[in-house]
Amino acid sequence: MDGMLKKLRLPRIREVYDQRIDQAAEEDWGYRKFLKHLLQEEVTNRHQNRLERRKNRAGFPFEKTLNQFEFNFRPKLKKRVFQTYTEPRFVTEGKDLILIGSPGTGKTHLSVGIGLAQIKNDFKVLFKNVQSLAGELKGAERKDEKDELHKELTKVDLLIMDEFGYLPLKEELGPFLYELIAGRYEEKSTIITSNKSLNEWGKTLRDNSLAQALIDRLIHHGEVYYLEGDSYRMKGKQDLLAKNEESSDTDNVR
Amino acid sequence: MLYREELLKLNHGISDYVEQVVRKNMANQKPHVVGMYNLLEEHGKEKLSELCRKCAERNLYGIDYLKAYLEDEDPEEETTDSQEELTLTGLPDQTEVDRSMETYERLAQGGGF
Repeated sequence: MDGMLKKLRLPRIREVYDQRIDQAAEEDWGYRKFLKHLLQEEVTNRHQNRLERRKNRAGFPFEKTLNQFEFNFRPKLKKRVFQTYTEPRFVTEGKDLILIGSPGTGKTHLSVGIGLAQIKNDFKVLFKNVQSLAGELKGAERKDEKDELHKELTKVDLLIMDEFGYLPLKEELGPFLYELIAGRYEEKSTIITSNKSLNEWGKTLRDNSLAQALIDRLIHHGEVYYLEGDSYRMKGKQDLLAKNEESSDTDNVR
Repeated sequence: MLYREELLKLNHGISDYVEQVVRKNMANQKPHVVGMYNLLEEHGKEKLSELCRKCAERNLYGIDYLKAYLEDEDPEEETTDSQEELTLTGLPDQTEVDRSMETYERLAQGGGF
């Protein structure tokens, strides 16, 4: 049995069939129920493995869901609205999202949360730091290498480009990004996080007309959010300070 | 990870930077840590320290930012033809997005924004 199941590439059935035979005998399952049970386990296991592979390939810097985001710390952001971006139609309708705010306001967390949810919806997601993409493009010296990179980024269902504008980009990346966004326009979804207001993007791309054209495409079916308020990282530090103060007060009482 | 341990031993500036990079890239820290270790081997502790300081001052965390500052003394320098702002109406000003380092420092001291 083991050998045949291995040959047929049914690892989950191979793992559990012994237990299920005992269970079927104990609970008096019919042949149909027994077979359905085994096949169901194999199908579920394959699905979970596929999601896990997609999650690993997505290259998220960390795993945080939208539910872990502290919406009460960002009162202007409505959880209900952001949850709509986790629905399959955000991807199937080729919508885009731009999240703008200073470092530590939760842009990356929100984008990762949406990305993870879309993987669960069975979509292919890729997370790229823009500076890292600039490095990859620089490393791709031959045209076919650049084309390969372009193809990889164009074909994913949801592309997340993080930290756009943290540094001005080299001249060659502007046209590459424009081609990428134009290639994905109305077909695939893109999320961009940036610390630069949209009217600063010309400086980042070193080309105003290119930036204008890129923004036009992104906001045609997209939405832009300006995240304001205290930095999460600073909040964490403040909480820690408050805790320390509290414990030193308690120590003083003692 | 041995590379990380080695980097953490170097000095306060580098170890702070490594900690931030690891925290920001929990699930994908290896290329950053190994990349930083390679920079250390190729350019020495002083240079790595300088790069970490420059990037940390600008809130830029990751091997790609360190490399950008290694290749270009001032990667933030803008070209003259892109100085003009895009004319997009109804957008918040960049000052609403920007926050100066002093404000972070004030918050860290418990002062708030």
